[in-house]
Amino acid sequence: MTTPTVRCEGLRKSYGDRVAVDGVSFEIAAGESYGLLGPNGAGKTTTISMMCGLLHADAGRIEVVGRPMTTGRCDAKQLLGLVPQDIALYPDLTARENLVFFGRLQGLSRSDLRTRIDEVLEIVALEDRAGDRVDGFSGGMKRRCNIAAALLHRPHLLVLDEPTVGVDPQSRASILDGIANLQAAGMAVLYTTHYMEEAQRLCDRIGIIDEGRLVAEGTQSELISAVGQSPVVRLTASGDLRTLADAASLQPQVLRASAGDGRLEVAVAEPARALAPLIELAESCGVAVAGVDVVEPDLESVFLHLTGKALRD
Amino acid sequence: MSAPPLSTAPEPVPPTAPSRPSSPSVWTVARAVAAVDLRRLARDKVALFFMLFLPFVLILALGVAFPSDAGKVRVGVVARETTGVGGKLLEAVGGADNLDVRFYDDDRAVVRDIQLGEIDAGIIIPAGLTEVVESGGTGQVRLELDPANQASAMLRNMLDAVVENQALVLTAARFAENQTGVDQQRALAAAEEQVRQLTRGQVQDRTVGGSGVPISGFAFTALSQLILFMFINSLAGGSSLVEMRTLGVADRAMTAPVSTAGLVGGITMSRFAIALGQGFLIAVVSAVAFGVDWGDPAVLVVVVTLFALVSAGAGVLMGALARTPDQAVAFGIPLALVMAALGGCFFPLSVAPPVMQVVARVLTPQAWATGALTESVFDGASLPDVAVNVVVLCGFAALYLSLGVVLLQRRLERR
Ligand SMILES: Nc1ncnc2c1ncn2[C@@H]1O[C@H](COP(=O)(O)OP(=O)(O)O)[C@@H](O)[C@H]1O
Ligand SMILES: [Mg+2]
Repeated sequence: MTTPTVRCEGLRKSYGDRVAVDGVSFEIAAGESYGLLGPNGAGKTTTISMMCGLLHADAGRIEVVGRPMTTGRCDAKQLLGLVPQDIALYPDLTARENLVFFGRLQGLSRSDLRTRIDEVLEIVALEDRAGDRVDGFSGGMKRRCNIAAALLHRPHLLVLDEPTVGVDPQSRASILDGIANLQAAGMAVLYTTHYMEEAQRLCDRIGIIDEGRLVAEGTQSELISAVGQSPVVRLTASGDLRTLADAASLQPQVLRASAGDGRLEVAVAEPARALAPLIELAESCGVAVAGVDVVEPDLESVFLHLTGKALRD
Repeated sequence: MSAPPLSTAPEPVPPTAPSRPSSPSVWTVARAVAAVDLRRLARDKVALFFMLFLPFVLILALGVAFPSDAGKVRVGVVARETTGVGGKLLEAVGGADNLDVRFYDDDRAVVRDIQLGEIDAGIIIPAGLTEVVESGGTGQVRLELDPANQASAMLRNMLDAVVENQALVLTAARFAENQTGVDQQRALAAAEEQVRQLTRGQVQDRTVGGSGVPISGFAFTALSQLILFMFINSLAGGSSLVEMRTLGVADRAMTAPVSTAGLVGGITMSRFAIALGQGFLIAVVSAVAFGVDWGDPAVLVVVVTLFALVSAGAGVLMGALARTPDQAVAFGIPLALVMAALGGCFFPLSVAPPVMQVVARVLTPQAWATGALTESVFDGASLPDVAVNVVVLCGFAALYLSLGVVLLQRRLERR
């Protein structure tokens, strides 16, 4: 078995009485992309701050490719690249000046640094803005420059803390594409987000975090099947929906049925096969169907099921 | 504006990358941090205005507003001896046509009137002065001075010369009396004539300074502004250290394989360089543009260097304590002004009540720095004469620097 790129065990951190992270453990394999999905305040930033050696953990241990991570100067730090949640750049310096600074802190030699800066600027498509001050950049450009600074030293694992928050849709798309490219090239990625779509799109495996605990972990389909979520057929209709719901729940393919305000929701194993009999049944009950939707289960519904609350409020 | 797509060029696979850089040395990190700090200062127009422009505007304005060589110098005299050396002093003071003499009974009234600006200087001639001078003692005439006042410095030189001459005269007369047996009166007269011949040039010289240029009226202003600005700009500059934290740059730096020693060392280095540059800039410009004679260069170099360490330490401390950059400025500037006022940057500490003088020396490094520079500029003190000031400034520097470094280190480690 190969050493995982990152192994976190029993991480714990409290601020006074408030437990921010409560026994979080996970592993990320080489080249794997792992998503930490949870609402604001779940403990994502606290977890990765400990993982990157910024914050002293109250308990637990962290290994990066087998090397222990500490808050001081340690080898493990060379293997990680952190893209902080907030832009961490000097606004009054140019993109290149910022990169020179962070590159030198990573121990890159002057000549190595020069070629690396050109390379990372190309990766984030900022090569023609290298000499411009960061405070003149758009929000999306700042975000990309923020990512570039984490790539200089060729980390094994790129840690991104909500890198698309407050970014326009175009920049967001280009950031997500860029991360996908880095993954394709073999870089392991830890991606924290409260956007379910991003986790679904980018991550091989997802850990769902809430109130400092990792409540579930797995691939997207593993998570969905583990919590027993099934597709839902939603009929927009008028008539006696309550009677229809009772009748529908007696049907063999139907798992559950419930009537709401002008809507009937029917959980089924296979929507394609359940659809025609349902509409027939509605007609026979004198219910006029105005529309039909099939809702596939997603991480949002997994989260709702696990925690009883929505990912975003 | 449309965001360009990120490049599709694949990144080289990291785990197989052969040349992983080694962790940078403490020195490399410190240099990188200092370089960025200085570069940012060079782009900070407000900070540059405060460092490169404001001090000279103030020196010019204060120097012109309080001219020291306009008209007569007003001297308050308390005469407790009117014969012998005391008599000679009164004669010298009364005969100088650039002096306007007022007589007082009370020492404290003299000091008060100096503070009120009623008179420029005071001379207190103690009873029994002649006896002391005869026996070879010195320093018995007390001079209340406003060092900001160029004329008062001239006055001091003049009085020094008179007392010195009198000492010579008395010694020579006694010598003549003992050796030749001539009567005392004649010996005294002869000795006086001899000494006058010998020292006339000296008296003249001392009142106008070595180069024939009078001591600049800007001298006190320049030295007090030097101390004021080194400190005030260092405290305000603490804001850039706070920014390092609030911008998240410090955290990002801590994700690199670096020790806090490198980061804090670099910041301290650049803050020291900035304070040192500020100090010597004011010294050089005021010497060249305002004709300030700084006295012993060794005193200037040592005091400015030590005070730059003190200021850098205070700046780092402020950078560690303030929560926001604005806080560093909002607390730093008033604090620096109060310390400067207490430490004799606005009026000479010598005119402050004794209790205040003690408080100032306990609390402010400014008191020791202005004290050393004042003695060098106005009294011709050399380095050994200000040894105590130097030692105390070393202590303040060590205190501020160690506190600043330890606290900033803790802040960076988020403990
Ligand atoms: N420095 C801090 N002091 C006190 N509480 C904090 C601090 N940082 C985070 N917290 C608390 O810890 C919890 C987790 O925060 P965080 O890790 O930032 O969540 P997330 O990144 O998932 O939004 C939150 O309740 C937050 O209020
Ligand atoms: Mg967060």
